[in-house]
Amino acid sequence: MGDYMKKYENIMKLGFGGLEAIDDEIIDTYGKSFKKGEFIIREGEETKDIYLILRGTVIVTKEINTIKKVLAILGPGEIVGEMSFFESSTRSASCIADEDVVTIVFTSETFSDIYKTHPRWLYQILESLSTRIIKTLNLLKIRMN
Amino acid sequence: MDNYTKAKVFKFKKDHILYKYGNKIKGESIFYLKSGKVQTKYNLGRGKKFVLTSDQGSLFGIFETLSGLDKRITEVKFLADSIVFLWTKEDFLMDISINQDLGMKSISFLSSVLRNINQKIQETS
Repeated sequence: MGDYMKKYENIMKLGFGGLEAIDDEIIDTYGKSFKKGEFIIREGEETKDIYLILRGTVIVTKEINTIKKVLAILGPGEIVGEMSFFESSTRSASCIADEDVVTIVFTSETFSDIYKTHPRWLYQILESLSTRIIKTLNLLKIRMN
Repeated sequence: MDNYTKAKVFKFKKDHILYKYGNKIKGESIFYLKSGKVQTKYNLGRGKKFVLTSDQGSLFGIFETLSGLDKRITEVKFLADSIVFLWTKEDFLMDISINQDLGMKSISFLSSVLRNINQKIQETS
């Protein structure tokens, strides 16, 4: 497998429709990497970027009564940071790279451009959010019983 | 003005139940409340329900459809006479691909739902 294929191996798994749907420039322009243990998002800060995870796992934690609780562990195809992006609020939780992580970053400026050129990416975000809602409802059911 | 080229528009009377737990997800399965009021309930078991009451601008049926479930895990009932846009999954995806506002509304709505559920979980911790 050549470098080109290796680079996009994970993206293809995400169901973006294969290589024909991927613009090399987007990865080069909007890609961002994080080392294991590095904060992607810190709880309470006022940043607004959305991160689409391409590779690696991310731990979502929240401080409750001075104790850090793990809310979720997210992997390729899932997104973090969308709530602050759309709701004009501070970050409600921290996101930490559990291993070396590769993401694509959507800022308020770039989101519109990417949307227009690659609407499939929006579907990926919607699907990710929907799946997280189902998982979180299941967690709520377990907690309530 | 809302301009959703693939959507159908339907009126529903107060107290009409759009779907119940376990109903098969098929056909027009994503709904956007143009006007009126709906109540979305999730069954927590042992007689307990998690209620998401929705006003104008809300989407419902969306997270079950887009996550690939084949049966409903929520129940939706109209609390007032309402006007609703309806899409099949395929038509909805076509509309959001050309209507950025609808796409943004969808992400914003799903984010707020997720935040509400997380908040409920924190309250139970």
